[in-house]
Amino acid sequence: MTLPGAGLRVAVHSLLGPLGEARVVRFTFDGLEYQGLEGEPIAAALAAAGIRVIRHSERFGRPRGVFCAIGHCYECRVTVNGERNVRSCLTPLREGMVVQSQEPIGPGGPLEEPPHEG
Amino acid sequence: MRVDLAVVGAGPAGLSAAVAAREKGINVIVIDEGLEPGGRLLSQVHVDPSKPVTERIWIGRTVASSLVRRAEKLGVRLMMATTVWGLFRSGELWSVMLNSGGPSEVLARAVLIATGSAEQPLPVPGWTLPGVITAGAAQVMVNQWRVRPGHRAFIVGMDPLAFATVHGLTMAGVRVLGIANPPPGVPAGDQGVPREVLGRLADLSHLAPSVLMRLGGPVSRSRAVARLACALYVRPVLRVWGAAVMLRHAVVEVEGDAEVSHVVLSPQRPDGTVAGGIRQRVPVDTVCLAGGLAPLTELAAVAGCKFTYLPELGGHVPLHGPFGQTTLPGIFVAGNVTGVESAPVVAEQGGLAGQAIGLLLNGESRDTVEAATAAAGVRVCRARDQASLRFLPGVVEGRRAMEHAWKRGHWDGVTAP
Repeated sequence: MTLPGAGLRVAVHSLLGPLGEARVVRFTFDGLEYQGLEGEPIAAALAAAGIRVIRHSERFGRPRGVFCAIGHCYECRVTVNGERNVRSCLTPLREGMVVQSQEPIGPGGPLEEPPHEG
Repeated sequence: MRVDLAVVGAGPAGLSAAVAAREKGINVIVIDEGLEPGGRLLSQVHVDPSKPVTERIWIGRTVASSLVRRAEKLGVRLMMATTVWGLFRSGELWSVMLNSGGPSEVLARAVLIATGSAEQPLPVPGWTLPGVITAGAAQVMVNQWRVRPGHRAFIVGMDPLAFATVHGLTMAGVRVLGIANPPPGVPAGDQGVPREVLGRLADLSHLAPSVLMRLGGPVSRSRAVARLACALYVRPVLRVWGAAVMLRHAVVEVEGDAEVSHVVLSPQRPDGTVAGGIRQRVPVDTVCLAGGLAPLTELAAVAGCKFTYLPELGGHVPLHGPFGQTTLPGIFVAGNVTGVESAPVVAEQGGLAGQAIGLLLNGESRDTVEAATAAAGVRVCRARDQASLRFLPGVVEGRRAMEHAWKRGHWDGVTAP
């Protein structure tokens, strides 16, 4: 089986053995098509595809990605099939999913960076 | 939906409790927001060379599978991908509020809060860049998702989870360049003080005997020797699984444009302050922050449990008695929410709580339950003595302090139920 993604999958592991079988499914992220494994977290499929910038912060438009991977931090939130603020680390990937990054809201886009960044 | 016992959290504590309670004939549901049951067991892989050959390799997923099989065989219901967002009194019962596609609440005679712990933030400048993840996240990615977070990683913080992460990443084929301290001033207590770090490495020396023994083993048991070792350890001469152990360096900044590109290292004095020496920029694409674990207690707080502050257990913890009973009738706690310990200890705690809750719901007296759970109590202590990983050096003292606090029997006018 050819594993979907950008060569980041751990196909073999000295203690955990080979990867289990899973169906390859297609999904889109910001309009581009990717492949992942059915049922894996969306965040895992994005990481395997080499996508690290998952959204931009609401106020200053800074890049954000996976941080805790277990649903605590909400940094990996995305829009899935039109539903906003879905935690990509806790949402299973399905065939044909439309995943979108979340960008600064508001008419003017991101605010200007403050002069002295904290 | 109505049940006898709702368990929040499908980790080692929750699953063990569910099995033990179900064995007493009561009906049990386990609720967890993860996609599959097992909690953090699913991402844990440890090698402990000091154990007998047959016990050296510990794979959390195997432990989780066997617990899940037992639970399912007994008829425990598992409700996954479901977040519990509230816990309210509803007459004699508790309303467990759910956020899922299914039912919006479960009514339970008793609730066991087994929510575990959460990693503490380590706000190094630049920590919001994509590519900066927690140490736990790195383990989830390589061991559970089976995806490498990147190619070249650096670890910040030197605690048990950090070293487990070095090993986990290395086994998955990620090159770990080094492990260093957080910068002085970040809210991490004595985390970044080389002198203190060296002392804590003694607790880990059995995991990588060839290296950590020399650095943190017999050496650091004597304070004077530790001071000397720390003073001499300016250059990172030792390596753990290929990663440079930079005891006298701090990661003072993470750099990058859209994502991580470098860590900036600065030499440190033994007391943790940053020395004026030359800063080093190391090209990496992944940074793992190990800020330590603290009990995840929101749900107990929402329910109205009384708390006490015991840093030996990881911070604020719900006041609880020997079965995990809290200051609220029908609310119990078990596992890391009561104090941070490793999975084998947690599983025994869960088993004890589950057995006790089962008996109490069957109408047994407190004395009967106390006698019946004595053996389980011994198993908890034995697991603690044999634990490969000890997260908090003062955990035994912390447990004793909690026992005393509970025995005093009343807090701010609240009496033990």
